[in-house]
Amino acid sequence: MNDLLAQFLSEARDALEGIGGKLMELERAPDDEELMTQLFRVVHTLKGNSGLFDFPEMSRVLHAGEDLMDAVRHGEVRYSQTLADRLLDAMDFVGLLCDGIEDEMPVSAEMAAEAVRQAKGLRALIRPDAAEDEAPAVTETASPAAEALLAQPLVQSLARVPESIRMEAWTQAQNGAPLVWVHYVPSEECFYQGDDPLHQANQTPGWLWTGMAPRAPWPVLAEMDAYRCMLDFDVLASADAAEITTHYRYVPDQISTAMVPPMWLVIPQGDPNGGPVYDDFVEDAVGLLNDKDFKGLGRAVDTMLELSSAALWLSSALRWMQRFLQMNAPDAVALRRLIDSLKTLQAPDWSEVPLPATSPAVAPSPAKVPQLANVHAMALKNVVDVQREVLSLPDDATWLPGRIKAAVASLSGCLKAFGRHAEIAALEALATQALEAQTAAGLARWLDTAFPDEGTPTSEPQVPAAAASSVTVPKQASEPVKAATPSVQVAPVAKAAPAAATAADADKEHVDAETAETDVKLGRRSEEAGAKSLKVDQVKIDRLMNLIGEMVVAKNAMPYLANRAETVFGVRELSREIKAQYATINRISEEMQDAIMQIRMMPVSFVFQRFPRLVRDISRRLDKQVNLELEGQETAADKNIIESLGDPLVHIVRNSLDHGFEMPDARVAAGKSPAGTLRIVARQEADRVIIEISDDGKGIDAQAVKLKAYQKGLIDEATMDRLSDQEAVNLVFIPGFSTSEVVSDLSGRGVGMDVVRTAIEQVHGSIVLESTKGQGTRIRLSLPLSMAVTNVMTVESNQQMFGIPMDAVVETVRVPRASVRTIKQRKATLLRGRVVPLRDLNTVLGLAAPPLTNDSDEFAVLVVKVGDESLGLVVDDFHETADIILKPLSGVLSGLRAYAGSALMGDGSVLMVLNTKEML
Amino acid sequence: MAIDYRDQEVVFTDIVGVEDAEVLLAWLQEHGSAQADFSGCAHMHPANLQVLMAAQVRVAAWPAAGPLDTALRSAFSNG
Repeated sequence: MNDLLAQFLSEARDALEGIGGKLMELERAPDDEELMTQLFRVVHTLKGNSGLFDFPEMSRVLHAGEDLMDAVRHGEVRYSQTLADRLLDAMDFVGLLCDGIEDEMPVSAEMAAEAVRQAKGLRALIRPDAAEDEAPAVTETASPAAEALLAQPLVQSLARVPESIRMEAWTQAQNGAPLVWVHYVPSEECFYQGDDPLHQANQTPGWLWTGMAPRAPWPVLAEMDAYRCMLDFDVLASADAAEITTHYRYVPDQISTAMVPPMWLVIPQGDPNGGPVYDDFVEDAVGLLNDKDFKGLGRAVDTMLELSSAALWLSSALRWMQRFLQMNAPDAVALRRLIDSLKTLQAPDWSEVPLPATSPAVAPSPAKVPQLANVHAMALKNVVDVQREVLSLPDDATWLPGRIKAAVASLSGCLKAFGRHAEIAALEALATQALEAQTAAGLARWLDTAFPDEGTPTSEPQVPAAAASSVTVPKQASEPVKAATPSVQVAPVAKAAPAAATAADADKEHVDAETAETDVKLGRRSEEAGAKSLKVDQVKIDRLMNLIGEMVVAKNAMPYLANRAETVFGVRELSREIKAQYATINRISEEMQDAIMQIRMMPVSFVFQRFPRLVRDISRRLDKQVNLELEGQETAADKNIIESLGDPLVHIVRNSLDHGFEMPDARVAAGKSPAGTLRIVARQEADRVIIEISDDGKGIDAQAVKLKAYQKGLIDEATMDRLSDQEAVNLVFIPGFSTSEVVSDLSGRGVGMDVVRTAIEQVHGSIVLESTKGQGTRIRLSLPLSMAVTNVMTVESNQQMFGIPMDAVVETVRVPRASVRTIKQRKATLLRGRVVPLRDLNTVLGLAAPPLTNDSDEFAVLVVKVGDESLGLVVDDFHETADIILKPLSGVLSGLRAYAGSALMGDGSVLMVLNTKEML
Repeated sequence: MAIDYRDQEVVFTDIVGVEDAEVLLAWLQEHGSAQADFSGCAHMHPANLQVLMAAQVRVAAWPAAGPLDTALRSAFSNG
């Protein structure tokens, strides 16, 4: 993916979020013109940007959205919830397209059709009455009903196609090629947009025939506007529907397609005179057919054809019979019908005949369309003629080398465009020779042999490879859409011959129309970008983060060094200087660390901004009324923390909406206002971010939770009786627990709060749930501001140093040996009136050594938090706290769950950081 | 020159672009019963074609077989 596209995608996502947000703001203040203008601008910009790329589907939807917003802005359409719904839907669809682009997936036919549907839906809101008048969308006419509907007009249309072409098409169909009828109604303004609908029609994949008809009686010439398109086009092509859709992907709303049953092509045409004279033939033919004597019938038909004038209706029917008889297994039913029709001189009505299934096993034969080469061949001829003229000029000019180079460049371009890559090397060798010899004669001779000067372009032996392949070889549906756009083939022609420019017009599509706008926009955007901010890949920041981590470690080595200078080498002066230098480096590194952390900091609004939409959609679906209040959106935290918040928060909000809030009437009955309030508040407390989600819904029924947990066997009866209401409420965190009786699409599948808790704990956060029945529920999330630098307390045990994250540390105490009690072989102590269980760190780690006491016979006890409980960890001694860069254990060590990771200390030693949750 | 205006005939060669349509319309307004020679024409922008159709020109010569030929024959076969 190129940088421009990557930037477009990133901007598009921002814009889509902005659109969503503004739409919801508008719901509250539908008359806010300023907001409306802003919204229009975002949609407009996004549409303009999408025009820079080849994303017609996206441009189409956005264009419709822009038109709609424009109408709203000018007061032609009133802003409504339906309108917001549609626009939000459309933006979701655009988001989906962005995903597809990111994954480099070609746009499927369904997506293209959906784009048309979305655009139509949006436009319908602008002119509700005109919605149904629009041109029919792409019709996949596989269903018999649709076929019947189209039958009559299609048969009439097919009669316009000359017999020879119909016969050709029929033969192709017998070989398994699908036949498609395309009815193309270009918009009246299409000429202004640089379109050439005839070229577009003629370039249809598998082209067989183009027809053209005025869509209204012509005005008198004096009143005619030559540049208002009044023509409809019909195309008969041998291609499958997907190819057609791809070819017309810029104008899918202007075409309708129908599969052509091959039999419908069998329409005898001509002068109907002289019917009764052939009665004898009809009798004979019926007889021969009854005897299944196809050979005899063939002879009779041949003789009859020789005797009859070619222009007669009868001759036409006979020619068709000839075609049928040439088949390996002639279709007797069809032949009988044709013979019958000779009596009546009425074309047989094939729509009643069951259509013989075309054998899919037979590979479709390539359509013969050498005529298509016409335009290309003409252009080639023009270019070659000019070069021939240039090369035949006298060689004495000083600019001869330039002239030769220019001619060679043009010719090699031609060779490339026509797929003759193999000849380029020879041309270049000749060019080198010509430059050395200072004569173009050699090149001129080569030109005569490589491009013989034929009179007619059609006899050009080299069928343009690109053009032919795009037209004749049915493509795999999985082939990237881009490959099928004809601009690839036409572009070199347009470049080479100015006269061919019009031919390429059709392919430029709407991009041109946007150019002026885009120019202006690009200018403005670059100004904005310069002034505002810089988008940096997260990988780069992560690298900085790692580097600063290493620097902190290196920096921490300096006090160690100073110590050695003093104690080992006895240079006190140097020790002091190192310490002074350390202070400076320490300050700088701390600032740097802070600066880098700042870059990683993001406001919680990044997560919060999705809630207005979520709450709106869900509450509308559930018919509940909910006001969402967001507070403290500017509170910032580390990017990883913010990102890890997304899913848990969405889950909590959904739960709240689905289970928490009552229906409006129930709320009124309970003496509350019909609309509930969901508050999401973020704030910073010391080095943690606190997020509170509270609702004033019906709360959690502690008794019901207990009962449910008991029924599910999650708790026993004794526990059920013992649990306080608050404790019972927290049972919802047990895996597999759901209070919901009914599984809805929102919640109630039992995958819930436990997942939320796990996700929060993964980033060293905690979650507290409080609920009062009838009054509401409050969930409090507490998360660290940053994950990058961990503050640990170092402790010593059995002459080893260990780190314990400060998050887990409650306090450090000295416990006299006498105060340690043994309860059922477990040690415990009394701490400020509370019993705290004690564990020896050595025992936990499987070390045999008993814990050491200090001179006063006191144990060093580190009180840590494990879940909601406190536990005293008996260690040998306490040491200082340290900021470390915690690295998770990798490789074979990664299985050691007792450790959260390791860190490198200043003296080069490795500090193992304990994971209290897993360890105890 | 893609269009050659003669006495009562207009001759098209190569590729006739959209920009010629206006001149063609003006010329046809002055020459009521004109005929058109497409024999050397490879492609023609439909803006020109609709002007020719509206003016009900007679076709003196069809283009070489190909998409333009089928389109022209379908449009001018009655005129």
